[in-house]
Amino acid sequence: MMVKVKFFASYREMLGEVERDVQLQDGARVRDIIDMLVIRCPELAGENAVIALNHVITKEDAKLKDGDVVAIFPPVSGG
Amino acid sequence: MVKLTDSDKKRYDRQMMISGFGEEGQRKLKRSRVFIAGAGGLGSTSSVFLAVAGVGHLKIVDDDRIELSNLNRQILHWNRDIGRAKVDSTKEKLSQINPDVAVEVVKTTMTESNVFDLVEGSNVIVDGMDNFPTRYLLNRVAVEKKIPFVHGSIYGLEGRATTIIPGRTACLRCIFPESPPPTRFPVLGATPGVIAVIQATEVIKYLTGIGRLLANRLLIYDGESMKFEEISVRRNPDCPDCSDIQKS
Repeated sequence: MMVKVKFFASYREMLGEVERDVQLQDGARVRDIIDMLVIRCPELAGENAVIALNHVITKEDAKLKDGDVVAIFPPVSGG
Repeated sequence: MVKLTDSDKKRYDRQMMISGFGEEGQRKLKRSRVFIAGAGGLGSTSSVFLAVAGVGHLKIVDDDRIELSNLNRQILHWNRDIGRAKVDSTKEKLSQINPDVAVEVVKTTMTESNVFDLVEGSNVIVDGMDNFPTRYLLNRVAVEKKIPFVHGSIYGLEGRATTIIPGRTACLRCIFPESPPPTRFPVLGATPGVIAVIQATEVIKYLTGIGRLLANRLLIYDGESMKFEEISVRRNPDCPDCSDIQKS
């Protein structure tokens, strides 16, 4: 299945992209995306990422299906 | 009962034309007290739009002085103000923008020991902070005192906003359980401008009772792609800050 993953704030700089389509095995969960990203960008491992699945806040154990949109964003402190 | 003067009726004529606003909406603003935490990038802009809208009493708290590096975004502070306390510059400018608004300023650092007294009597708290520890403190006092808390935060060309109604919506800690590390963040001046204008709109909607609030909705302004994303959020039943507050 294909899932669109969107990145925000400093994650765009860390990963060098705004969004990407990711191919996953059936039965994959949000955590599988995070694991893939951490392999590419180890500094993501210590991040307090907030995750939304199809515009609803979710957790890493959420199950994915074809066509889902996942947004991954950090809290930002600026004011 | 708060009355509108002839001058009020002229000054606020265009906003009283908004559906559902009217003279009653204006009277509600006039008798309201809004607490603005911070007179930096967010607070500079939200305070201007709340002042021009005719909120009766604005209380602004900030502990900082103006530096040259603030001036790309903190539009209430000007070149000539470098070295002044931000609250003094804020009071001077807002009083000139709208002399009918009572502007109270306090130059202090918000801490556990003073924040409850500082927000006492406020109808809404506006987040203009630049760090999460103080935001969490404001979130907790907002939840405990059941005062709506309009969150804003920014990074570069991106910003977030949501309106927290204690007991009814997710609180800041429900959405962001852990704070980001303290950092010197990048920011374009227009970004806090966008977010602070959204915050001021939310405050005015809440006080007048018009429109639909950003309740249980986190708005992400993505200035890089020039898009808005809306994320549905919900209360965390185990939230350390708000789980013991009854649903209302």
